[in-house]
Amino acid sequence: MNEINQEITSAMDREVAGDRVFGQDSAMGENVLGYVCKYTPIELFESFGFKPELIDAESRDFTCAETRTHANLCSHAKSLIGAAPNYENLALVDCCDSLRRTFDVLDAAGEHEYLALLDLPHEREGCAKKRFAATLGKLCDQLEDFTGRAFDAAAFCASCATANDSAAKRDPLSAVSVSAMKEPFYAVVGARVSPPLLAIIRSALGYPVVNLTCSGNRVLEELPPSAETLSREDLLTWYANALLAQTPCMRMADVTARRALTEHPQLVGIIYNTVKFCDFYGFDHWELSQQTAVPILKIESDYTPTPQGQLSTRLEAFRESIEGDIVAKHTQTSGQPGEQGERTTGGRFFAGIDSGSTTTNIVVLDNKGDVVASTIVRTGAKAQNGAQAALDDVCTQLGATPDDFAAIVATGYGRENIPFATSTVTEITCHAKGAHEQQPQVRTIIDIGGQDSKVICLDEEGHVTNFAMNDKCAAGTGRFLEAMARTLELELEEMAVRGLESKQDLTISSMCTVFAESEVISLVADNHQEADIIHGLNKSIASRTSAMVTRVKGEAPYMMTGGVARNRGVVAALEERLGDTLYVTEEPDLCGAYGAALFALDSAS
Amino acid sequence: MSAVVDAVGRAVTSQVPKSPARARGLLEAAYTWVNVSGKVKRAQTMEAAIDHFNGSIASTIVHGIRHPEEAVLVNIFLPCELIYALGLTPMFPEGIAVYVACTSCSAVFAELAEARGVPETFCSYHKTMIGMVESGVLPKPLLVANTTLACDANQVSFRRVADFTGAPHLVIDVPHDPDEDAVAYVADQLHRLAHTLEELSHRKLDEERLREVMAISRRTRAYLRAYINGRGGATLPTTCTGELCNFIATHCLLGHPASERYTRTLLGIETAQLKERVRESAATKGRAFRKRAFREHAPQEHAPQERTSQERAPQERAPRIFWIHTLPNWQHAMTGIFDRAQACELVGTDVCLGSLYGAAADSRLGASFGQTSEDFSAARLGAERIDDPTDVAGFMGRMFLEDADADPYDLMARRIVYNLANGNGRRRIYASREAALHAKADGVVVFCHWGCKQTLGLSALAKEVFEEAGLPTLVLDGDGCDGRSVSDGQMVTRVNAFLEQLRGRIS
Repeated sequence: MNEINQEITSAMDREVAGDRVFGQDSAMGENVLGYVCKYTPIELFESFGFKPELIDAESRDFTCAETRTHANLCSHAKSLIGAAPNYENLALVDCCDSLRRTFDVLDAAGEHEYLALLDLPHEREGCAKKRFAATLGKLCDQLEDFTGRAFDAAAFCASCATANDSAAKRDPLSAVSVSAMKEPFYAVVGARVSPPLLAIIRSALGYPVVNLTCSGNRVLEELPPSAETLSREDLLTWYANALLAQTPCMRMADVTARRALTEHPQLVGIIYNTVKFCDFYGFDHWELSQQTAVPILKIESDYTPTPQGQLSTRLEAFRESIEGDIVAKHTQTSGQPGEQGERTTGGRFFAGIDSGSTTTNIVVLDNKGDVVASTIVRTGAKAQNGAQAALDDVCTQLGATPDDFAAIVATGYGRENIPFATSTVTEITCHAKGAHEQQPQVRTIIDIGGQDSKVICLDEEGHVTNFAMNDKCAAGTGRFLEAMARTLELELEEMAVRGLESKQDLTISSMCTVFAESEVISLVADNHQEADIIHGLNKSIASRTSAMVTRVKGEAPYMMTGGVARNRGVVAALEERLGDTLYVTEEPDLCGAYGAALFALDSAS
Repeated sequence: MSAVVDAVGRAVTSQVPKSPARARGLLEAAYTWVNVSGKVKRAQTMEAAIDHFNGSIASTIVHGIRHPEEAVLVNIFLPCELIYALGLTPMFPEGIAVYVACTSCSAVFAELAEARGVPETFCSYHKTMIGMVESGVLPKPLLVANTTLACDANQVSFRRVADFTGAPHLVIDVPHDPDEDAVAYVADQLHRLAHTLEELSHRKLDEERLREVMAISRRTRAYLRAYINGRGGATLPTTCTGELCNFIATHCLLGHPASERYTRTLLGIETAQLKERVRESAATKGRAFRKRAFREHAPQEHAPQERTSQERAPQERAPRIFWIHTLPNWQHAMTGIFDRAQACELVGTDVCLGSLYGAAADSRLGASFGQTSEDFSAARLGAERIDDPTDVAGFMGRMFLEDADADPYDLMARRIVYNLANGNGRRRIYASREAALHAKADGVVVFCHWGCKQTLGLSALAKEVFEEAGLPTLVLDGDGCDGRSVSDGQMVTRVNAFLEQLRGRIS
């Protein structure tokens, strides 16, 4: 982790330690006012004696929110509903449909001493500014009534004068300090990012990570000269302009100023965060990806504690592609089971081991780079056991012992849990390496494995230029096919070819594995031929995968890797959808392990 | 017929990637046929009225596609009287997406949009529109214009379509809090819309023509208001498509002569049935009824509806359903249950109330901030009266009907600002409760259209409020135009179980 990232994460951890960020203590503090949006007039609230606190809680359980609303409400809004009881006072903004409805349910519950929904214009010019100033005036009147205090211009100005310093104090790597960045840095852009997710991102990357989402880009322009002497009306007119002059979020009508966020010369990479069921930022991501040359990694979060596995794979692969330190994770020799170690003896062989969700694959190279052994075994319940079985198998093939291996690079989901690996590289980078070595002309790799599918774009040197992975949904992966094979009571191998005999063009339209299964059952009940149903399923996978290819702007020539590449029906459906042939090697599941073995060989030289 | 529709859908789907122009031609041909077949029906039946109006909507879509230089791409809440007064045509994504869904080809457009970065969780109406535009099937319009009401999807989809096509874009910013300042703010922007339309079309807006269009708009709402007034006493073969027609007639087709014709016909059919019931009743029981309760056309303000013994339900009648939000008229599994009172009868929707319900009630609503929940609840829409379903005068009084000589811009602004889709969600829930009770509904379906946080976010609250008022409520997840995110089987089971529950209560 970068030192600055480390320092800030620790500082934020200290703040979070008392669960203040989660609002647990807030009810104990006097006049604490929870807020969520950067357009909230927090300085005005402060001048009336409130203590504004940004609510950014993750939630382990959405039961409360889903009882009061619906499961498909934006995840941030659901986490807010869960955290709301910890605050006696809440100031929300008319940000989006989800927050409007959040206000409605909280208002209906009547559990808050003070509850506000600020009517924020979508426009930022002329009449909109005037209207917003009038809205702030009405709010001011309400606050005078509510608190029994008169508006205090001096307190208000003092609060405005320190607004940006306070923001920088909360997180030095936020928008207020971005102009001063002199070294390479990453930016998190898009939908708001929770503090724990930000910490994960910061821990995975080698350069400082600046939070430019709406939880980190609140910047207030300077007060006018002699502000204290202005009338309340003039002050609120200035304040309305100042709030509306911030970098617009996606709910505003004119969002062109957002592009300034990503034009800093030292910006080396963008982590673009989207939140489940918040649709604004998918649009912004698409537009940004069309306009900027800065590499972008899109992630999806949902305001629940983030599982490390898949996210780490993406972040590490992103770091590898930008920072270039491919074999970055050497650890010291420990000799203890369960910990990775560095080999000190000079062996003859170089291995790559790909620990996937279904199988664990090993490829072994000699010092000339020729493949001398390989194997595929079931991973089973523990990645470590599958890896050991695979290593034992190749040792038997070669008549060798583990000491004969100069380096073993692990990749795949289980890569961190293989005790005999000397280093780890993500499967994205390994697939790219392996594919490029076998077919240098390939520009797009489609890898469909047991639990995830990926599209990886390469340049002519074989470097990863872009990639996408499926999110938490299994639709379009090997698991999807396994589920459907069970429904049709077929073996996977049989299913792989039956679809090619299709005579009728059926479409399985459901996006969800469970719904697709029920659709298959309906088709079986309607006496449709198995071959036609399987062809429909293959088309469904092809449709999802080709959409991913379009999203990352993948271009021919294509190569397909992963276990599903053995399924001829899926390959044919994908070829039809892409309008081009797919290059499939004889052992498509070994591509990642082969790439890892090449890294092992590189590390030795 | 379904086989023909499916064949057209397949043909369009296969043509979209290869030849968008050919796909457009196929859709034009299909919707021209819908128009012609609707127009030839002259009988004064509900089915003929719906088909006729459906044909007019299809004709609007076809005109927009054929003459994009005269088409304004709008959202359904944008007042279109200015567009009609200038002789231009609105194209609205909700309508187009429904037509595309009914032609079995929405998936190709939705998938195309998703492949180009549109989130899977995004509203499928807007997703379909983006897919149609970015595939090249929908041509570049003269102008893209949308209100920020009623949902977030407007904010991103219209901006994206304008960017993609290079068409000018105008946004009508509708404040969340319905008040008189907001009316003036929106009216100002509507003046700007008028100037923009004049400049782009090189046509001069004739104020007299605008007043004529506004008169059509006023009469349309008056007919529908009267229809809603009598709905509780009638049993009609309504359909999902018909209820959507009511929504369109009172929103983006307001000011179009077809809407006036349609709503007048609806009222005529309903009135004829009510008269017939009165005659039958008088004949069998010899009781006298005051005839003024069954007016021919636009009703008097606050006229109370008579409640008769004949309006009480017979033992074996179909459950009466009040519906919240859009309807899945593309989905045969649902239309097989809800259409033509087969298993139940649709007696109204909140969406068609939206632009009828108005300022009178809202004067009691303050801004949303700075009030404790108790203050706020006390100021709610008719809270002290709406539990009484016989309070017909109160209900009808809350329906918005302007003076004939009022300022058109103020009127259009008022209609958007005080639309039930705006402001606190409880405005919409309370008004719907009132309308459901007035229509003598037995239960309510809250339809959570995929991606619509506006509605799904208030579904639990709505269920609570409706059930407190004695209206069992089903929260039904589905999709207004995209079959990929729904399961027929699950939906049918839920709906049938709900109807069994209602039948149990009725008997």
